Amino acid sequence: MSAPLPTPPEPPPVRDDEAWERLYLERTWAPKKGLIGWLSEVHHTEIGKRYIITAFVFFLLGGIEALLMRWQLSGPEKQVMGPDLYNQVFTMHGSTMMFLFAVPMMEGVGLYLVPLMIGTRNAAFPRLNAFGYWTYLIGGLLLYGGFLLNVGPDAGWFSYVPLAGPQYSPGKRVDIWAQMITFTELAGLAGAVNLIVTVFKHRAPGMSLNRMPLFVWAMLVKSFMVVFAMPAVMVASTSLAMDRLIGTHFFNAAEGGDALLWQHLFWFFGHPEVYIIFIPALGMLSSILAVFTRRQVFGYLPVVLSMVSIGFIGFGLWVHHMFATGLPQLGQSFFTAASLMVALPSGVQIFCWLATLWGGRLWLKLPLYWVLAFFAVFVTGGLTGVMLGTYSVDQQVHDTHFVVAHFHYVLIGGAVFPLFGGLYYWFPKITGRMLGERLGKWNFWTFFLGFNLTFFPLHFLGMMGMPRRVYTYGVERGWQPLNLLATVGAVIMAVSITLLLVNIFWSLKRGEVAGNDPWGADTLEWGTTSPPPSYNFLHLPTVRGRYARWTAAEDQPVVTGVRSDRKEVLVTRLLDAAPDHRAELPGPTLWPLWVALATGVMFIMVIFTPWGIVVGGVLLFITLTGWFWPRPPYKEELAPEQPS
Amino acid sequence: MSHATPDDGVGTGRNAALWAGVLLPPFAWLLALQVTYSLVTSNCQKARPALLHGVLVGAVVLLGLGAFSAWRSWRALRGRPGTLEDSGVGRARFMAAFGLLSSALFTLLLVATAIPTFLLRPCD
Repeated sequence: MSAPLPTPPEPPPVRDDEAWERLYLERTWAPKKGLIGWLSEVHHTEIGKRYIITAFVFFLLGGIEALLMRWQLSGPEKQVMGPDLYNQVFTMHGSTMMFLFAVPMMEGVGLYLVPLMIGTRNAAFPRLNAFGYWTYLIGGLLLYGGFLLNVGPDAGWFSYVPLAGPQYSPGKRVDIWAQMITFTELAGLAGAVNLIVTVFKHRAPGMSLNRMPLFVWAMLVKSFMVVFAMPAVMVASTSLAMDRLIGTHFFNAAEGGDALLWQHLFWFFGHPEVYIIFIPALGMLSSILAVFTRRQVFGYLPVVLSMVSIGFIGFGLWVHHMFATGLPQLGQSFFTAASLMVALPSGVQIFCWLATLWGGRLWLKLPLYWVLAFFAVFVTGGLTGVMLGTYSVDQQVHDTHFVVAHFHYVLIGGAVFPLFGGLYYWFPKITGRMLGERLGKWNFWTFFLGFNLTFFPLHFLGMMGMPRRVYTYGVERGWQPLNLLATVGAVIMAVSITLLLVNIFWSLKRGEVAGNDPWGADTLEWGTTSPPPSYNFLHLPTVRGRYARWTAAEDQPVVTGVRSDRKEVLVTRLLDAAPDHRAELPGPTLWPLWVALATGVMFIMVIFTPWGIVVGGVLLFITLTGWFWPRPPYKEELAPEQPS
Repeated sequence: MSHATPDDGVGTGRNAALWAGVLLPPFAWLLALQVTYSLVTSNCQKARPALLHGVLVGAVVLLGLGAFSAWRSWRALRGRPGTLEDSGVGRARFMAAFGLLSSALFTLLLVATAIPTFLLRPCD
């Protein structure tokens, strides 16, 4: 071996001194400095924060697109934009909110919190984490780059064929959409695999499966759903790209393909996607409820069972998005049945949370505001979901604003409300400062009011026959008053989000210092400093109950024997989290960024030429080789007869 | 350091039964749904009601195996100390209870899936 061997730092002198321990951990885990250090960062807190911030920026962009649409629809025959731009804007809005905001945001929150909640120092695959983030970022930039150059996708966020096929969507707009999908789903898969392995193998000793925090369960279920759902849409988007670029006929019925195959593949992913967004929010909700009712969540077992069951049932609902396609009625009936039955586990959860509220001492702080609003908003969306799950009702309101109202109640009510609750709850942990209470209340009430003013009227507009995705309507339709009301609501929501931004920036500078645990919370992340240090915990914790900090003994043991002078973590067993062995995690590197860029070159170049596969393949080979090049052994790992 | 020993005396065989209880019921329902739906939509002429009912019976058997595994595990753990919150035996009891409840839920789903096959013909 000609490569120079790294010199490990001298081991600390044997003394029971926390300062020494902290010093060694800081030397081992501290990020590199400067731009190179920033680009090569692989720690889960940093990657998680990047996901959260990037997804929030995309949320703001998607929100601006929503405002533009509401402005256009605020009155009949308005000319804010023409039909072509309107098509691009609604496609960008849907694609942004689903692929660039909701899923990556939940992923980011999970990647930030899960390793802390289970008491370890980093995610299981730190470099994969970084790769996922860069890939996601490139996909998002591709979509918005296209939009700015007037090649933004315009066939809707689910790009149905034949509209999205080469015949009806010439040019590169749909190709850009399809490749963005491939980027973001690849990132989603990377994050999901990381979370699954981290949860299964890196839990603190004592945190058996039946003691995992409900948020960790939620992220586990969500990650498995990603693993099974995302490949379907990646296959679909790749097949669509091939139909468009090299003349295959996967979806071309005239040449033996099947247009409905697109819908099957897309919704086999698309419906689970709703739960991929929603289930992590349930985990946040459970975390908040326990802390702000000062009691354990009622019915841990039924809540876990409900989340896991929804994870399975979520894969048996996709055809209810296709009730208007003329499939055999018997086949549709299977999915009507499943669509109604998924209300069972959802209802069980709702009742468990209500029971938690009923028996708890409510501490009415801002995180709980958002959770209480969730109940009102999400249950409304759930009820219209049961209506739409019924074939006969669906036929009447299909593709109308009733559907738009339903899924915004479910997605914003089911995911964004708990997410904002989570923001107020975990902001002190992530930044070390509390968010302002007064501005926070203004933020909450304006959002709640604005949301209902925007979306409740859409139910009536849908029943009056107003279709989705029309850029304008005639004055004789009588849709103006309700549309105007919805637009006023959207403006109030925009004011609310502005207040939130002001609160965030103000609190980062002048917010009250949070301390380690301002809420008296139960999970392990609150046992370390705010924000957490680069090594997460000075001493890796052990656990003896579901609510780790509430059930900890006075002299709760900590893990010993894990080296502080290397990036070592404890690997535990799947079921009971019994210690198994120590593992060393890789450190910062630029290789994930290079691999993501090589992937980007390939995916973007193939939009224009099949040679992109060759060029990208070569670049990927080179960068992956660099990534996986083995680390030279430490001196002490060499056999005595080997030269050092 | 106090922690649970590997499997805490529950045993690898018992763990396999516990996993069967946890995973078989949802898989049985999903399998029934996917197969019956595929039969009906790919060629409804060939999807005779008897064939659909056969698939559903197969799913019932699979689900029953899961439920039986969970029930046996639950019984085997009777009398051993440990609540649903303890590690080791408690964790095993948790998985057994999970399997039993999951079996009940997915039995309902299977029944709901089966009802249309008695009311509609495959090509309706």
